[in-house]
Amino acid sequence: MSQMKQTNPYIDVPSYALENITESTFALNLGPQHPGTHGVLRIILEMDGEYILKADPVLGYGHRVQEKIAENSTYTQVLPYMGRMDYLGALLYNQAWVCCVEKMCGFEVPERAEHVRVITCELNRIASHLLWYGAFLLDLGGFTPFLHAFSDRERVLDLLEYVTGSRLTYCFFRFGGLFNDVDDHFLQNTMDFVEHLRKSLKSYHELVTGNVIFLNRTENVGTVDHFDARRFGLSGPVVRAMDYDHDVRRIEPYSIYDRFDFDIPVYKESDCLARYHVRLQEFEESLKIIEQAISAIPDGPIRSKVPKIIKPPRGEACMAVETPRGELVVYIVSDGTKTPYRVKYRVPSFSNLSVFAKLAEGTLLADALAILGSLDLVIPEIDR
Amino acid sequence: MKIHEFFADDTANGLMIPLENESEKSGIHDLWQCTPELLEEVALFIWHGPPYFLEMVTAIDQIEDDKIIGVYSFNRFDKTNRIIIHVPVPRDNPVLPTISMIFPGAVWHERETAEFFGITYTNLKDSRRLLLLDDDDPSYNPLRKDFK
Repeated sequence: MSQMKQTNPYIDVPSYALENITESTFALNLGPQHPGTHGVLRIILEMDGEYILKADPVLGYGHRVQEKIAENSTYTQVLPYMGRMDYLGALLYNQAWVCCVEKMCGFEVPERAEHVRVITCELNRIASHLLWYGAFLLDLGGFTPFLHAFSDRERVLDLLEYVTGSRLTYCFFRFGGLFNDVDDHFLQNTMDFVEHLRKSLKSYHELVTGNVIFLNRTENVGTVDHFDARRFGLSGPVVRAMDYDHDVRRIEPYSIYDRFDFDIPVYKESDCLARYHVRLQEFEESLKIIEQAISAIPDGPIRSKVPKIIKPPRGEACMAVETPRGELVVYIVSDGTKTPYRVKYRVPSFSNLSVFAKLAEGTLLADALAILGSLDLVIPEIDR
Repeated sequence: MKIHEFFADDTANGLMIPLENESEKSGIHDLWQCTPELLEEVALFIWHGPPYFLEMVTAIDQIEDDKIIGVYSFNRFDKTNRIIIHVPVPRDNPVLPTISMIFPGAVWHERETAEFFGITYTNLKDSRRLLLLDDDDPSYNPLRKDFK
């Protein structure tokens, strides 16, 4: 507490718009189409040789006004849109919307449905982290881990396709439960996959973690100041690499996560290497959760009876969910009719990207790409 | 010190009003309404306390009451306690103070809310458009209820 009083609360925030390009500097577009920006993100850089003087992200290339669409649709019609926002962690976005409305209306979810939700969400988290691992190392120049990660990811996508019918933008949860039941074939294959991934993780560590080029490119690169996590609202693996023990599944448990025994990996160094370690350890924690959920899954119905037209009572509600990128908050203001009055999606990548302008100042261009990769952004969720 | 102790005087004067809320159902643990003048004090109080972080800055367009309500949300890192502050301003000239000198992450949130609702944030140095096109005219505010 006393430490907090000594830091001056007021910060002079400069405007990052590029105004003066002098004769010795030039403006470079890390353009909307670029393999290193993971989507349509444009960053205008003011460069002095290879050093970045100022970075200004320009957003909006994928903006679809999801919040206004939600005001004109019923609560059920909004459900497919959630998967399109973050296509890598679509089931978790589904869960945020469905759980928020269930909280407002007081719907109960059967036990079997809760267990299946947890299993599929953790599989989705593993798929997202596998893609992050491949893409991050591809940005740094290593092509081999990308192929290994995607080969494992295909197995996860096959499992999820067997149950949900889609490979990427899932729409599997419904108010009060699930769309489809799972059978023993799925559960057995998932247990086989868990064994397979444990072996793969060992080979990922052998391939990458001690590699001297990788360490030189990620150690002490993109160090975030400790109090910036509070000022910018960072969350997820970015903040767990900064000595903050924050995971929504542990701090504000939703669904049945409080019944499972898993650790939260926390590292202190706040650089790209620490974020890498946090995510690699999260694989193992997700595998633990999947095993416990499969061994505890009961029989029973998968969907409880809910009215055909959902009309939550007047008021507002928030639901926070731990996505692979951080804390997603869905904030619904309802006026008692069948369409929401106002919906706000607080996406983790938006806040995580807002600290990039500060982090990229004074770094080399190659380091800026390493920082972008380690922040694990998905641009459609930023643009909504 | 809790928020209702620190702002006891302002609550008595009617400047800071606790709104009704069931935290189990809504996920919001502290729901308050305050005036725009008190906003900076609230932000300073939240900064100097336990590890709260800025979650979101947004707005609601209440067309029947002729108000736009600015919504500020904060949450904690060590245990959960979501604080949401409502700041109503008149709809024809919505002006709110910025909190970006204490929480620089609010710059992007305020830019987005400003372009969607037409709110002016005083002292916000970077008030360009964020998600919409740069050369749209400033009265193009899609999230207002009377937008055509």
